[in-house]
Order: sequence, then structure tokens, then C-alpha cells
Amino acid sequence: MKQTPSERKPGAGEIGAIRKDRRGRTTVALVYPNRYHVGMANRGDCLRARVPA
Amino acid sequence: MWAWPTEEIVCERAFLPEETSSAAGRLTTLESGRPAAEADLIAFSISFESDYPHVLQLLEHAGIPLRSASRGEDHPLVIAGGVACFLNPEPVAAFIDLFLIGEAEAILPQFLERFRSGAPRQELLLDLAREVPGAYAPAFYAASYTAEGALASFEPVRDVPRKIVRPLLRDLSGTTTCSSVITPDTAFGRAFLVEVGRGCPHGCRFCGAGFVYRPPRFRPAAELVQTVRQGLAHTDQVGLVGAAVSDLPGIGALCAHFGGGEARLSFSSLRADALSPELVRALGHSGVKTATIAPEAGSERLRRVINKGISEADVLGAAETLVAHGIPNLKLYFMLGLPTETDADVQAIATLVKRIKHVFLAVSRGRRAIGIITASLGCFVPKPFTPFQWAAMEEVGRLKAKIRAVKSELGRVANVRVHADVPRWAYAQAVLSRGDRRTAEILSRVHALQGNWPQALKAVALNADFFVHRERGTDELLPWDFIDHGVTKAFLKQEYRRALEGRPGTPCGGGSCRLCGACTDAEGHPGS
Repeated sequence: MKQTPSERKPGAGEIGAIRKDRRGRTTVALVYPNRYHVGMANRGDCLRARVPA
Repeated sequence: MWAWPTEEIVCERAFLPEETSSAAGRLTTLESGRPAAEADLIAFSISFESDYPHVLQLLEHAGIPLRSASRGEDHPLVIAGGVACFLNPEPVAAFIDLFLIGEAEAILPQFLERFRSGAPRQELLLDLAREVPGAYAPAFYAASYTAEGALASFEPVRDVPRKIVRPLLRDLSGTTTCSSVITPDTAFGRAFLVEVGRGCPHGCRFCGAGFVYRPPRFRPAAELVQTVRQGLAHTDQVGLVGAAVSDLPGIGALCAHFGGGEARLSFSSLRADALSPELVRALGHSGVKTATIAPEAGSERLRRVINKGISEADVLGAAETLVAHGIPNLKLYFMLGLPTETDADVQAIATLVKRIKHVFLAVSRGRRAIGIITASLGCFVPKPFTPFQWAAMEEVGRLKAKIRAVKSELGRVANVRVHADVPRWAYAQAVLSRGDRRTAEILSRVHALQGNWPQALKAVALNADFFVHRERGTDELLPWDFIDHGVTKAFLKQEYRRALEGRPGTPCGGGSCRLCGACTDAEGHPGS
């Protein structure tokens, strides 16, 4: 059965997410003040493209 | 030009929790699942004022004191950016340690370099506020008010800039802004989003983006072709994003390049007077089922007041072209409560929708199914840094009556649907958009009352109508006047005057003139 966005865990099925070892690095929590499916439609994620590279 | 210290930084995302009742759980980041409060920096990206109450909820979930003044050495620095903050950061200023006002590329390298110095909190904040372009630390400024309640003064109390000059990226060539993460779970589906430009040359008088992103800038089409190619490695859906995508020089060639089969192109915005054959063919090919046209107002007169620059013939022509290219449904955006609006202007919305429907039916005839026309009625909120920044917002009761008037005209028309904003939510948006720093009291109360705005507004000592329903004097000190977006107050005043006289706007020279102020001091603007 096809899952609707609200049933799926936020982040499931993503392409391009980067997970880095946090040790010794400055950690930034980029917060979108809305739920996942609204926040990810926001262009703010474009900005992230060049922060972690 | 500039380099990111990317190797030394980990950036993870956090969102408002899916369950509204998850107050117990700590806010964690998506990538590592670690508490957000453990990060060195909490960075809010805020596009909409209506999300300000969520900022308070998120801080509480994270276990971070809501007010900036209550945070200490053990807490992450809380910063915020995004267009809502560019327009007016004051309503949310009590909760943010530092705003970054302007485009990130022109700010972040210097910000991160100084932030990583590891200096004690107050010393660090002062250094950032003094040295980083576009940085605004509310705690270093004090406001006073007149007996009537208007802003009397707004001054620095430490050695920090008197005006926050927002930096922007002068030349977009050589930089790319596109989706770094593609997810199936957004309004855009699996689309790879590519920003084609920033700002907009049309200067519609209700629109903040048309003024704070001046001068309008576009990416070279050849570079966009490369970026779209990269995206096509992952998905066939590509969304071209911009304030007016149809203004991109070379948009026709870009559409012709990809619109024939490789990619399904969609556009964040198209002007009804700029639907070239290549563009419409690409749109039809993409399988898009609904196209949006934004006449904004029903009458030619009111469209002149708002400087929309689109005629009824443009609107009808666009409807005909879109349906003829196989896009079955149309969405039409209108605003109610615009300055100088009369009952005749409201009536004109229904009349225009009926005329569009007439065209729509004539073209749809012979097609198997006839689509739906959705008229979307928004409530106009006068925004900072627009020529309408001084205007009063329409009363909630009047907005309701105007919505009813349009609905009663269109309610029983086949194939036409009407959706309308809830006027009292637009009122709340106006409070959060037009307020000064005393709005913090309202936000705190809304938060404590779990979103109950009517109760919160009753409970505070502040009269929110003063922010919303009062026409402000053009010589009044406005809460957002300390930000310098380039465009002068004199230019906005002139545009406001011309609007009230029903005269069209002064066109944007796109860098070639000195009329609005955005291009005058190109040499002097830092960070570009």
C-alpha cells in the first residue's frame, strides 16, 4: 500500500542528505519552524547545499 | 570570491514535531537524532511571519529558554534569517540572539569565521554585531514610544551600527542554488528545485520581494542548463523557482532545451503577460494539471493601484493559452482589502472570473473533461518595505463581508470554486508582520495559551489594532526603519502617493537607473 506523506517518517526516501561525524566540528542545527513536509518545500534547504558541501 | 569552511562544520536539520502533543520529547535533529540543544548554533530559517509562534514552540521543545535575555554560556547561540526577518524582525526580536539580515552567501563566511573564535557569549555577540554585515543583535538596541504608542526612537546602546545594511550577492553567476536534498514528501513532490534568480523587476506595490531583493538578478541560462542536468540524474521533475520565472533571460531556450521529453518542468510563478510558446509547451508536457494566474485584483483600476501591470486581455489570453495546451485546471489568485478598494472592485472579481470561465469553456469544448477554475481570495496584509507599508489593513468584519459578496456571486457557477483566507488569521499575520518589539508579549501569551489568539489578544496590555488598522503617517518612525534594504523611504512614499492616485509605478531599471536607491551605492554595500 502506498504511504501518504503524513504516514511516512520525516526524512524517509530522501536523496542527498549528508551525515557527518560531529566530533571536533562546529555543529549547526538548521531549524525550519514548521513540519517536515512544509519545511522541506521551503528554499532554506538550498542554503544548506553549500554549508556542508 | 569566498570560501566555506565546510570541513569544520556539521549542519543538521530539525523541524516542528509531527505530533502536536509531543511536548514531552526533546527536539532532535534529523541526521543524527541528537538533541538540537547540543548544537553550537541554532539557526532558524523563517519565510513566513505566521511561523513565529512555532519558533517559541521549537525553543521550548529544545529545552532552550525562550527569551534571549535568559540564555547563558551553556546555551547554543540562537540566530535567524529568512525573508520574514528581512521585512521586520522586531516582533520576534526578544527570542533571537542574532538576526542575519540579507543573503546568506554574503554573510555566512564572515559570520562562521568569527563564530568559531569561541569567545564568551556577550563578547562574541558584540563582535558579530559589529563586524558581520547584516548582523543585528536586538539586545544592543533600545526603543522608546510616544504617548500614543508609536515608536519615538530606536537607538544602539552599544558601539554597534546605527543602521543594518543588508548585504546581497551582486552577481549570481558562478553560484548555484538548488535542492541539496530531494524528498518525496513535500508540496513539490520529488522535484529538484533550481533558483533562477532573486528579486523581481515589476514592483507590484503589495509585494515585499519586489523591493527588498533589488536589484533583480538572474543566473546565466547556460549555468542553469548545467544545474538542471545535475538534478536530472536523480529525478525527472525540475521546479524552476523565482519571484517571476518568466522574466529569466533565456527562459524560452531553457524550456526548449529540456521541455521536449527529458524533464518535467514546473515554474513557481508565471506572469500572465509572459507565456511564451516554449514555456507553455514545456508546462503542457510536464503533465501539470493546474496552472496559476494571479490577477490579484478584479478591476483594471485596482490593478493600476497595486501596479500589477497586467490587463484583463492578458489574463483572458493566458487562460486560453493554458487550457489550449492541455492544462485542465486554473487557479486564480485575488486579494481583498487592497487600498482604495470599493464594492465595485470586489464585484469586478466575480465578473472577471465569469469572463475567464467563458474563455475556459470555449477552449475546453471538444476536450473530454472540463476542468475546474478555483478562485483563491487572500486578505491583503500591508507589508514592511513596500509602498503600502503605511496603509491600514481592512477590518476583519469588512473582509468577511467582501468574501461573502464574491462567494454569493460565484457560489452556484458550475466548474468554479472559491477558496478564501480566514480574515482573523490574516489579522494575526498582520500583527506579526507590522508590530514592534512589544509584540513579544503577544507571542508569549499566544504560546502560553497554546495558540488561542483571541484570548491572548484580550490578555495583553497592548492594543494590536494599533499595529494593524491604523494608517501610519509617512513621517512616522517605523519599527523596521533601522534596516537599510537600499530602496529609499522617499521612493516608497512616492510610490504610495502614486498608488492612491491610481497611477502606474516607476519601472525598475534593473541596475541601469538611480531611481529607487537600491543601485545608488553599489560601491558602498558591503559583502557583495
